[in-house]
Amino acid sequence: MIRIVLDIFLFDPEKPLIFTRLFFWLFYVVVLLVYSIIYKERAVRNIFLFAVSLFFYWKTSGLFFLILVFSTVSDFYLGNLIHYSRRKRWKKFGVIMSIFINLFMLSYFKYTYLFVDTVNALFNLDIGVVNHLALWSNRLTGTRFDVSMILLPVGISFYTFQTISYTVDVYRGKVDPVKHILDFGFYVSFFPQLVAGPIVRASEFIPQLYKRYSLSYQEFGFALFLILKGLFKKMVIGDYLALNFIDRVFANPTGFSGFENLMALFGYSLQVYVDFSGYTDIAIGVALLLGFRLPRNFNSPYKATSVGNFWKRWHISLSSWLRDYLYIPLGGNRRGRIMTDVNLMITMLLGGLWHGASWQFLVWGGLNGVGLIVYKLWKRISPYEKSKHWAVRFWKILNTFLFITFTRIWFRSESMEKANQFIRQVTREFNASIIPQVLWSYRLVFLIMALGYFTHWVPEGWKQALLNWFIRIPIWAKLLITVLVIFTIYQSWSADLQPFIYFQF
Amino acid sequence: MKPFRTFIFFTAVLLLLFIVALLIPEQGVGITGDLRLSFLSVSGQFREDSLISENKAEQLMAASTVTDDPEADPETDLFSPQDTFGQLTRTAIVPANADSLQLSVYRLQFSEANPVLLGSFFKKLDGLRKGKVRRSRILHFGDSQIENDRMTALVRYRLQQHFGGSGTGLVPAIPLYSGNMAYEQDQEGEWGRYTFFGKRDSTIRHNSYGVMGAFASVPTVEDAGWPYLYFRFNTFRRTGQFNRIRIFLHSYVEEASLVFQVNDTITDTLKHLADGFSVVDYRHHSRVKELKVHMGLPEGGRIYGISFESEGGLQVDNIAMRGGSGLIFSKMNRRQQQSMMEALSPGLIMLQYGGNVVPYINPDFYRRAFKRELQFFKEICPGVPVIVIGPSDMSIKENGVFKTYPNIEPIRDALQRAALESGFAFWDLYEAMGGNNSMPSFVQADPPLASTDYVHFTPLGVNLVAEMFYNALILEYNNHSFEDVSQ
Repeated sequence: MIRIVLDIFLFDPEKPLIFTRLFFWLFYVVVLLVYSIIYKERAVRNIFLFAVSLFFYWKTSGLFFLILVFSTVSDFYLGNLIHYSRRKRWKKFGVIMSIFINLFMLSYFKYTYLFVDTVNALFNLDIGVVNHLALWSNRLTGTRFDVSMILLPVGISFYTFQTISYTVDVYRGKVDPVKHILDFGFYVSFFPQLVAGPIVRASEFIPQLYKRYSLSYQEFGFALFLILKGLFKKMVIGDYLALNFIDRVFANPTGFSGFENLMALFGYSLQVYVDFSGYTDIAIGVALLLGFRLPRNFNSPYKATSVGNFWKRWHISLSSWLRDYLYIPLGGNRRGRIMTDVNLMITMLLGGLWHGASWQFLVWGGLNGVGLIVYKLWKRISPYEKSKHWAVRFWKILNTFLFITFTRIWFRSESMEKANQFIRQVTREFNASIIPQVLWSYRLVFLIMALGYFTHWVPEGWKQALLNWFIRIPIWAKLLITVLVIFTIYQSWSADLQPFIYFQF
Repeated sequence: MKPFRTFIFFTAVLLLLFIVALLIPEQGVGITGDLRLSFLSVSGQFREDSLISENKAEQLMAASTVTDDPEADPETDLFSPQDTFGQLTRTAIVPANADSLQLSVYRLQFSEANPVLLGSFFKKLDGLRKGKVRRSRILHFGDSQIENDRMTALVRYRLQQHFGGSGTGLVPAIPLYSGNMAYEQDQEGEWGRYTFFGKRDSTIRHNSYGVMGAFASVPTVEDAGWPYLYFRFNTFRRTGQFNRIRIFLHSYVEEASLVFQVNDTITDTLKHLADGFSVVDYRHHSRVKELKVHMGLPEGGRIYGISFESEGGLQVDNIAMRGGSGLIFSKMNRRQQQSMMEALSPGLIMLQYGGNVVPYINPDFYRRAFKRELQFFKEICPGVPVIVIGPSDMSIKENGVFKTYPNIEPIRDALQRAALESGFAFWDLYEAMGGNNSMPSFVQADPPLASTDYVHFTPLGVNLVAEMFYNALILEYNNHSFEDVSQ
């Protein structure tokens, strides 16, 4: 009994509180129970959800929740300083401090290794990483943190961007500061979107803090549909493909033929979409059931007709953040064509680095920047740019998809060396003779991959019709479908491993 | 819709799922042949913890400094030069982290009848260090776990640092997989590649495949010129540096020729090669960046392997047989293998197999069959010690939980018995990596030490276990030298 209680309340890095674990849904049911008692009292509701969110982050990241608290406190008071100061100098100081503190935290936890490795490689040094934060804590409070490594707190990339958007929006006069620190804490840490977004703007979310709870039957159906869709995408498609095919190939590209490498890349292009969009679907659904509306984060990105269009459909909350808080402040398109391209490239390079601290992400961001710039030039001379013909649209979608998939080589590869191995296998060891054998032996993997792409590319009208049908059906039918979907997901989760198959002799 | 109704809805979902869990037995419900429906077992939820093994991978990594590339590893080593063996004890071996390093020394097991099995090999190593022995060789045979020079690369690099030697050792003329960091390979002509392991080509009527169990078949001589093999070496790597090239081949007629073109200059032409098996030995005394070997052999001539090696020192050959279980040697042409073994003159043989038979084979049958193979090695390489390396841990998935294959330990025991009963040594890779249910901790390690097939190591993972094997071998060397000093 004591063990069960400790299991519930203590942090265990092996058992994070994530949407794909049973424990999360038990936690969510308990939250709903309490919420159904207190939801009418706005202040109590916000404090409760803040406390629950901190508990969620504690279970996911342990003591790193103190960093979240620090970020909350510092940005709350800096927001007040910016708003209530009469002197412009103090307002500027406040916003610069907020950006500095957030980016410093992000850089410290995320980019120290990249920085040290680069310095070591450039100057042939052997500098090691020391976690000064842990050292300081050990000296001051007698803790025993490992000072030889810096771990990345979960979700730090998301909530630092979220708090930067708050102080900048307060500075720009777009939002008034939040009156109570607990309300602000709730905005920063709201658990459905805390670890993987969407990145919620203060102007979108803060007004909801002061509104009464509301949820229509249609919205309930929509939220439930999103949750089931998200779980299905993540667990049946994403996890199955990753475990049984993609991860194996990318772990050892040279052990597989070029064809298998190429298939793994197409599989990964799907996996990264279903994983990420599935997670945000669940986040949006879970938040909506509590009465809070989060912004849409994906809009069928592989239907994009250009790289620019792709970035309006992919991780929308990040790309719009980068546009509003980086690209436009850099000058956007206001300083001539060349500077527009330079600004685009800087934005995409930094956007690449945001996704991960390695040179591969920089290459990935750079390629996307090149894609945007080349397309801008191309559309000026292309005779088909304004054509509505289906073949032109098909050609554009195909090219965009292939280009984005090509850039994923660097997004997925664990090192530049692995990326080079991948390219070498595809260009020099394609081994077309084994294609039928590979397709047959991994038939379930390819069937699931085909299903994933099919459901992505079917017309929006079909998807909407399914959603409308689900929303309309009575609640008992929703209940049965929910149980059936979870049962199906379990079959995929517990399915036997696809055995390792030798194709090349 | 009020939150309470949402709560009721989710509670009802959980309740229904609980009922489903109660109704479906733990082993699932069979629908057709392979199709089986299963669901959470209620009792299993409370048992889950007992299945999660201690995180062995993390402990092992903490005690190690290996990287993806053995040639880039920081220098930490158990090796103790012989001249200091007066002070040598196990704990004196000492790199940075002596306490935890002891954890990773998982020792070799010897037959009671032959505890100094490796004595002859260690004497050769001593001789290499003292300049009394010119060269020696280790042949490392294995399955896909060692392909692409995995496992061997670290053992080779560490040993060559102390006992000299460089070069890749024996490699196939036409590789099965690319990625050898020492060189890039290409060829002119439609070369065939045939293996005795895996799927055999039924058009090959003979069983002379060489000790690598594979050969490359020389294509038709084109009008435009002879077919050739091309290699471009990474001369910054130890494996990319060599001054001796040996080609093991079979020609059907006398008068066959080979032309060596080094760094774009024709440096030697060898004519009148004998009919049948022969070894072409070519030396080049400056650095070889590019090599073309033009084959003046009639169609069907076989290349059993090419060895890029140094004039002296220790060679360590990586001979990977994808899908192999180590039971093919005695089925191939004995005379031909014996001739090739004589030319190679190994001081030690390592056989690393077992993984491919884990899901299927009767362990007792495997023990007897493997013992026959060991007997075969005794006969074709008399006096050469053999170390058998057992399979790694491998997982199957049952109801979403990864568990060790039930047959792993019986197969490990079969190999262990076969080795020790034959008077040879055994190294238990399965126990060294943590034993039962250790593979999931390798897969889930950050960075990953094994692939998500729960069978194969990643380059980092394989170097970790290779270092453990190297530590075990060098510990015996250190101890042997110490015991042997007065003799």
